Amino acid sequence: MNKCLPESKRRKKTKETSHSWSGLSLLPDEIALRCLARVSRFDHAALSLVSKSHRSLVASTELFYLRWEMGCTDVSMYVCMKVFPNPTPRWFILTPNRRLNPIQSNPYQPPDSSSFVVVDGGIFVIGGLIDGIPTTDVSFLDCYSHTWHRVKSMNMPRASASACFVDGNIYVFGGSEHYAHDHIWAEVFDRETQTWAPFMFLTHNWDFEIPQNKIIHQSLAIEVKKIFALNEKDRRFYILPSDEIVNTKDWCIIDKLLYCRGTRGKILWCELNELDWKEVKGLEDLQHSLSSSRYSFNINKLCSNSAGNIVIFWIAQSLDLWCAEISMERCKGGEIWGKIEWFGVVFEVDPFLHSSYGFKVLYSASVYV
Amino acid sequence: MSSNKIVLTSSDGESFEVEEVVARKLQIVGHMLEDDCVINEIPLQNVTGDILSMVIEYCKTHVDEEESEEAQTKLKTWDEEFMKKFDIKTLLQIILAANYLNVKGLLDLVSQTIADTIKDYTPEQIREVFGVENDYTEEEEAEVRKENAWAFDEADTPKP
Repeated sequence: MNKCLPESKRRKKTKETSHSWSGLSLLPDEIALRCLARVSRFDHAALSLVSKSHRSLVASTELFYLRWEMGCTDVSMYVCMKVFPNPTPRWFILTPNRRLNPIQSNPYQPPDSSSFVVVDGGIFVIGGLIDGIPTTDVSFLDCYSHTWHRVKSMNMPRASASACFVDGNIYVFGGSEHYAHDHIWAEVFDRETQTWAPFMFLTHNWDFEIPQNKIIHQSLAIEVKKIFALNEKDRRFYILPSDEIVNTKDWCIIDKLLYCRGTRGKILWCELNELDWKEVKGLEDLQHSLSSSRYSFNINKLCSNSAGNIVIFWIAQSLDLWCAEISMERCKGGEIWGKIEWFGVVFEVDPFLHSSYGFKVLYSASVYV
Repeated sequence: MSSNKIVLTSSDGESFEVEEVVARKLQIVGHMLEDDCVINEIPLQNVTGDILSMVIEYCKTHVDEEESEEAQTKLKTWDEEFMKKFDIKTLLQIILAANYLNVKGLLDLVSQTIADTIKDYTPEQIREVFGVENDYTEEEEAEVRKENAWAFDEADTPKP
């Protein structure tokens, strides 16, 4: 029954155990909540177990709003992955002890090709393939309560669409086979009104020739008024003037540099306007130690976190899922050096459950709650 | 600058003579002074002398809050040391007093200290430190634990 605490902390106890004086519930709710707002959600869970009155304090909706008001939200990393052979994506939270703990799975989630968008307090799961057919389904993970909600469906079925969150709206591009009409190529979801509307994207002045097939898988924001859209086929970026638009799949932007996953555990970076990919230095030891003649180290997923660091996931030779957080530093010569902040096993295969078929991390992002 | 003195009297009849600038840090006093500027003795019904003396000590230290980084760091260190003097039970008394007397800085400081105390504790440790009795039945507790399983490490989960 022990949390992994440093010994000193574990021993920190008071002598005051002789009589009960009911702790925080002694305080008026207003004051108790001001204390609890400053406590992380992981500690709220422990508080819920203390007593019934503590549980109801933690569960109050006032606490949710007070945390935002006081600027006391915490940030947690969420991971969506497939644990084979089960084809249904599962959801996890990275604990302070750097383990992936399961949260409730999304009962509405298509098995493949959904797009994900992080907003304050939660994650949208948009479209995807059900039995190989694109769907209009949209669902939302409330990261405070860890509950799933259905959201109004899109106008068009989409799979592997590019999605991003800008100024309170969610933009979804492509992912549909029906390109006959420009007005269905992109749509926008207004969170206030909870409605989808076509996004008349092409009325803006593009300063490039529209790719003929219009299959744009990534769109990335760099600066306000510019969208950098990536066509995966020809690996070229197209720039168009518009609002700031962000999407992260296996790409991320940190300090105006673009990073992506390379082969053999490499992380590549480039200037946004050059697209001349170079390797992030300083990770050679990690790459060598993880590769062998029989096993080559490949990054399963790359994303950035709230600290502006890169987070990578990979499957080790032991078949366990590993994770590392890497901070980036630009050196005088212009090279980018990565420093490994931490790394370790975040999820182990269970040999008794025959789950040793591996993992596929579909999505990972930091969410403020 | 006048050094007008104000006498603050606690619920148990203890009196503290403090400078007006210090007394004004207690917003409840500040408001009374604005309403009627000739008061020089103020009874404070909801706070005992021992707790009031701590609040006054805090207010005296925070009376001129300088902007400079150095002064801020010094105050912060003082705050930390000040908080170390008290057990949880006293902290809860101080936070009640800070709320009643309306001393925002102290209210924030104590609520952060209480929050830091809770940090990383197991439910059992919180019960022990805060003197709370577990009023769950075994089944109820198991249910709540299941609901919050995402937050606990494997080692925390009782083995079936």
